[in-house]
Amino acid sequence: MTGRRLETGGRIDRSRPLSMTFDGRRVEGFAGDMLASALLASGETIVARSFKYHRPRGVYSAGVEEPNALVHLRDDGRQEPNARATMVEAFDGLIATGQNAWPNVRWDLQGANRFLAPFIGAGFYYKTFIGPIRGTGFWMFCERFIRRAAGMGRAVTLDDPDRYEQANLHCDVLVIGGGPAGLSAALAAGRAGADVLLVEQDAELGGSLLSEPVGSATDAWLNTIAPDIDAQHNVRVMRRSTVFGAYDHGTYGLVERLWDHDVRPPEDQPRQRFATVRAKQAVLASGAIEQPLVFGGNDKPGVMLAGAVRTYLNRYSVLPGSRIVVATNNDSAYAPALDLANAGADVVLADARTGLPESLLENTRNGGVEVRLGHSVVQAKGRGRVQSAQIAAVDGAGLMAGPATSVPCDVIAVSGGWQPALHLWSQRQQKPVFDSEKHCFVPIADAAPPMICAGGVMAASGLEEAVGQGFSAGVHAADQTGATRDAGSILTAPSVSVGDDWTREIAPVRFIVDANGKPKGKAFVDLQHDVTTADLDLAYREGYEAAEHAKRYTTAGMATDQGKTSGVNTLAQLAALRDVAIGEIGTTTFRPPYTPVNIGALAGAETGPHFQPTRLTAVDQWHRDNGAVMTEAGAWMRPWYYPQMGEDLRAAYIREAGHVRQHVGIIDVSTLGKIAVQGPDAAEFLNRVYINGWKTLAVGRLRYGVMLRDDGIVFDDGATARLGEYDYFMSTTTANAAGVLSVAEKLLQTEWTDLEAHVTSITDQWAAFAVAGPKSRDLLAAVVEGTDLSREALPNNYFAHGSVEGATVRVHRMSYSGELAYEVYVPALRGLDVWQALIAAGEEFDLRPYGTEAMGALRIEKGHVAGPELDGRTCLGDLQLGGLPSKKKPFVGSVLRQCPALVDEQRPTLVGLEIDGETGATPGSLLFAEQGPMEGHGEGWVSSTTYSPALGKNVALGLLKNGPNRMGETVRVANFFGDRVLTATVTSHHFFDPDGERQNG
Amino acid sequence: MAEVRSPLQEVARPGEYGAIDPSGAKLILSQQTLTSLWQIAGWGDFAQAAESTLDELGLSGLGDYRAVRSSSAVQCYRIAPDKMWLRDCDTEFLTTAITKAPAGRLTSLDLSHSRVVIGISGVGSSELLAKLMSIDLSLSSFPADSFAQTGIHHVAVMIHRLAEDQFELLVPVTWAVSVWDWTCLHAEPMGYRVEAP
Repeated sequence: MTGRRLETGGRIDRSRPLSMTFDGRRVEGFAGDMLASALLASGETIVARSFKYHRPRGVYSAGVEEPNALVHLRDDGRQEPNARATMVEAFDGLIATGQNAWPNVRWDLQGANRFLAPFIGAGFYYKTFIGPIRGTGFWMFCERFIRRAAGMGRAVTLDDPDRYEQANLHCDVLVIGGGPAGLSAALAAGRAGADVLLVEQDAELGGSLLSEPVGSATDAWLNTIAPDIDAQHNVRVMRRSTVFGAYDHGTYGLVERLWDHDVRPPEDQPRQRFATVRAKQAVLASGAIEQPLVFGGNDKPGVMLAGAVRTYLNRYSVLPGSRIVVATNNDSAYAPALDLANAGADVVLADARTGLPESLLENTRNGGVEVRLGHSVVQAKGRGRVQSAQIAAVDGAGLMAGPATSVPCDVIAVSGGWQPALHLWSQRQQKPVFDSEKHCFVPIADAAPPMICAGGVMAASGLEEAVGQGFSAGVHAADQTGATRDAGSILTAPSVSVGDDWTREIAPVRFIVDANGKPKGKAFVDLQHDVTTADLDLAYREGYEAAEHAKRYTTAGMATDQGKTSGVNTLAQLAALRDVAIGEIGTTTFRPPYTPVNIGALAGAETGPHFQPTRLTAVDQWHRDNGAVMTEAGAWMRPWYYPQMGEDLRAAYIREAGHVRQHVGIIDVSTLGKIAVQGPDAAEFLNRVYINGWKTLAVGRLRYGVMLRDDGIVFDDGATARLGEYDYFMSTTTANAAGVLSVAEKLLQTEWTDLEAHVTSITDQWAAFAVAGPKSRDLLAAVVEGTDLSREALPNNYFAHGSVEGATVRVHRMSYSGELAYEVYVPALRGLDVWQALIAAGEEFDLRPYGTEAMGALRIEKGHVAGPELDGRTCLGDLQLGGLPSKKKPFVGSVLRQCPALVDEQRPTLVGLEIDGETGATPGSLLFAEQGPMEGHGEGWVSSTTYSPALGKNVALGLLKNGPNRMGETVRVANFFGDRVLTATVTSHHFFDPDGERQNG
Repeated sequence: MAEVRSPLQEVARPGEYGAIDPSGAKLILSQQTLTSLWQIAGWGDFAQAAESTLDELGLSGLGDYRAVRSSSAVQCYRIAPDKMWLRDCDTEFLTTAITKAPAGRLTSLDLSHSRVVIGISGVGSSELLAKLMSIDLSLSSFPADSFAQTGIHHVAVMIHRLAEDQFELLVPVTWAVSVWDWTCLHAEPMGYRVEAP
């Protein structure tokens, strides 16, 4: 006999049948089912294989704690491994398959792993690190097999076609959990006038009350409180949503599963939404999780948590078996036993306790349940699933006290007590304490403000106490936020039949073992990771006594369930081994997420083209329309090159750079960082951040400047123009624009508060175009109105105001290419028209646009340093800028730039390299002397490389030890990645026009 | 004549997009006009230095950091203890007003080309913005005529609430297309209409 659907009952919608598949077999269900309930109703017994031994596993729980029933969902790009069947809402067309098995979970050849069990106990793979063969060779050999044999589901690399979103939610009171305590808290806080967000992971509100029989008093209570909450317009209710993380300052992580309950989301709709919740107060009403009893064969399909069996029966109308043994150490299993008997099952209840009230026993027996006090299940037997339970008398420690008798059964429902789901509370750096009466770890109610705990998570003694705690917590939380309305009276808790979670002291019996203290067969403490009591014994013997150590050595408490059904039993066994109280062991650390979160939800929409924002210049579309191949430069998109007639990159940039040298070219340099420096102390500010002097710079002039970091390393360079008495226009490299602004702001706000100066980014305000080449002056003279651009009127490092097509522009005469060159600055929103005016006027002068690759070639020919040389390792001397710093003033980096390490003459220094042969060098190549071994990191490296159209050869910039004294020397240029060694001649880094005749012409 | 061209002119095309509700769009996106945007700044005596300029502009005092202040001449955002943005003011009028300040005690900076304005209105506007930024947009926390400097998709923006369901975003021009695309992407599930400027 396997599970079956009852003819009546449950909270499912029988008018909406569903058809699904599991491992290709048809599974029937109804709206309101979970995949797990549908599988049970369809008689699917084995739904998974275990992590290490590939033992058959069935559905074990009915909630987030599920350790066994992990399945692979859907097909194509929507595939999702490791989904807990207990948390997957059933829908028509759902495709589920088993995982970690071959060929399938029913017949898994990897089940042969059980024969290796003696060799693959706790920490076996750690041992492969150190032996039996010296070195890591043995581990390297074993790893491939271990990784293939072990594990859970496998992710696919297909693109996920669904969309995901992120959002921000704010509220006064966040209520986590929509069970009786949470509902009461939300009602109270809402009535008090607080802005309340009630979050429930289930599709329905009610929590544990949904497991009560339909039509019971709890339904009436739910039917009363739900409309009352709905009537509170200040209470928002989020179903299918899980608060998975609690962070600082009332911040919480939440995932809303918007369309997981369907084949695919409707068009344009996100499948999941990750929300950051910011709440002034929070009420944690996350309930409690039933704990297993540990005995031989306790992992066989058919062994389930008692509360889960009741949930499947009452909520989903599924009777998991016909002959059921209920094993318990507390009262909460009596209600499942009675409900199962009432549904027609043969039920034997083995209670490890003795001396129970006669009224309870009489009521239970009258309900058709056979009760055996002082007994428990010592072993589950059966091939592939439970077929019988070995029941024996046990003492107060769980040791067999008599012979076992075999009771045929198809389900063993176990209850080893309850553990509050205090994960979110503990994530707030709190350690729970062990309650020796209720035999569970409990939070300290007010230890993690602004979070208050209520209900099952506080191990409330029953429904009445849970409801009372919830209501009080809601009132208190609302009061803390300043809500002032009267919350009214509490909605009295409904009565439940029997067995509230902690209504009576439970027996500290967790492990059912023989008289020698050994389990009868493999007894699993952690079902998900195949950790047995023997594994923990071994870990203890090998010195892993602390909870954190034992967890890592055995993997108990890891993986998707994070020890929700294994944590307490692991601690209990460690405590027993160390002969201390469980409370002295303490818990391991709880960290987010409480339950698994899809990576897609965390990424939100920040994927593909939206992975990061993109920055575009005013001329971006023109570049694309005119055939530019674009490239990323940080967040910017820039024209890389403009190919003509099928040119490749090399052909295009050589042509473009050559054209600039011969005629005139234009490049969009709007990406340069631009910072307004204003105020009476602007010059003093510049004096402090730049190495050279600024106080003598006249209005109308420009000056090149270099900045250092505090440690004397070169930070950035650029030109700054003095626009007015207190008004400077600083430019930075594209890459360092944000960094320079950030440093400048920090200095002004924290260290140089004496300075009256402001820095403001104006990168967006100004578009900028560099016009370079022998004809650049003629071109600009033809198009720029209102100013004289002659050599005499506008020498190098001067600027002038003018206009182009009515737009005000500022023309800086400065050169990055080594050519006669200008930079035209124009208010950004007129940038496109000005660019087009320049292009149109340039026809007469054969003006051509050029891209960043040609720009790089030109600056390398000229010997200008850029990003590859300003790499965070080089100082002024390295870059042959040692003569630039002022000796009359201090500046950032002025002290440490003179530290011994930075003035060492042996430091690699900037040189030019003329590469022999037709093949250019690769940036990053190492430099070695012509003779001698090529070992280590060499004597320097190649920083920038290009083919020089002006010189007709391949050249490079590099940093070479003692470089200035090695002019004319031949060095080897080694690219170990490309396995290629070239030779080069060391030269000056000023390859082209070293005297500056062209740029000053 | 060189025209002022918004970076959004190619992407903000009028029409209806996404999951439009049959009863009509819950969201309306548009470009709004930014006539001018100037920053004035000072130092420790900023209030005193700016007093006569603000008087000239019809404003009194520096105001706080969350409330937009307006006069017939200008809208004013106090973005820092010693900095203000003045919006949609006649440039000549503003330049003249700034000359009222003591010499060297006030700086001015034209930022008119540095920002574009995206308008977001409709009953779904707060819901949309909650997907884009971390500001609490409840009316009690962020009433009409509030502003805040925040971020959308890692880009620094300023948000100004004009009314319960009407907002403006001041977005740096070089990031504007990216922020527009990001906004539209998140508006699609709600359905939205783009209106002409």
